[in-house]
Amino acid sequence: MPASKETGDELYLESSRHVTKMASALFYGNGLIVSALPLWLYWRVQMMDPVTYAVLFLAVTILSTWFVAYAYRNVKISLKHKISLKREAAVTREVMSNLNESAAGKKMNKSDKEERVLWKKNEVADGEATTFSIFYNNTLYLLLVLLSFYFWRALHPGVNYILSIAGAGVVLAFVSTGA
Amino acid sequence: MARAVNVLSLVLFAMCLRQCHAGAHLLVSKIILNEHIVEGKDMTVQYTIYNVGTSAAQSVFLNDESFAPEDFKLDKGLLSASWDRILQKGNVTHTVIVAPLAPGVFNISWAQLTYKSVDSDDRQVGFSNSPGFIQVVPYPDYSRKFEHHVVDWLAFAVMSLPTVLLPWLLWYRSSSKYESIKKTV
Repeated sequence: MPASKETGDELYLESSRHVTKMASALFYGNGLIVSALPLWLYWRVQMMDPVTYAVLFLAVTILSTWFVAYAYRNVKISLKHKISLKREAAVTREVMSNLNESAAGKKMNKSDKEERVLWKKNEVADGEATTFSIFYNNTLYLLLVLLSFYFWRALHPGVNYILSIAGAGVVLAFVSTGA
Repeated sequence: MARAVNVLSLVLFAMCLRQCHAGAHLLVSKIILNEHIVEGKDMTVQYTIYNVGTSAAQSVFLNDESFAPEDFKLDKGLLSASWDRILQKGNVTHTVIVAPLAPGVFNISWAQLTYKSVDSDDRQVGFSNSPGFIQVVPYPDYSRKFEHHVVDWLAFAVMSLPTVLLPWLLWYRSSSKYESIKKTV
């Protein structure tokens, strides 16, 4: 629940393409984890020595992290509005039910109640869009990495790594722009 | 005239063969059984000694110095072996397992065999075939191409699962809650 009444501008920002710092940190953190996972495969299966290839691993992981975070952001933004519309009735019912049961809620005027519903709808849509975006992009990224790992197996392991990881990141970012 | 010379040559050759193989005569073959020779992995070398002579061989001693200790580690067996007696038309097999210590090309030469015939005191010396140059493949190249890495793939699956399952669970928890509220509206 917000500590104070939010203005229309603040609510509009939250509903639009704006991504908070917290969400941004979440995206980059998740992106780093999922981009670093394939290092295990390239170390243990492709027998790439981590010390010898440290610079390559670091550079490609950072690049991939950026692409994955970009994809997270795009998919989240495109899903948020759809989820918001989908959840409108259920969130309204939940919020109104909670307000009607509480003493403070009973004293609220109609416009305050509507703002509360709008805020809750935004929060739910934001949460679901974020989690679904991470799930969708992680699944797609790992599938692309596995396919590329197999497809480029005849090439030098270093070339395989660059094409698979950076390639998966690029494809993910590209697909997210059309999502 | 030419035909007579040819016939005479053949007769003399056959007589020589019979004379040459009088007493024990040992032939030894040296074979590397591995299809792939890999750095750090076992390489099996098999020696087979055949007695093609007319009598048994005794005090048979096989010695192979073609696997230098700085290049090959002796895992199982000995590079020297001896037999008291090998009967006429008999054969024996000796196996040694060595492991190459480094990748590269190595020249594997012959093994030496010394023995005496039962009806003679003269010590005879023979040599096996020479396998020649062998290519020892680096272990990472072999592992990448031939090993299945089942444990590594399982570990990757275990590490990847939370990155997919956790966000899905969080989404599903919220989604199912509001879907059930929606159904009661």
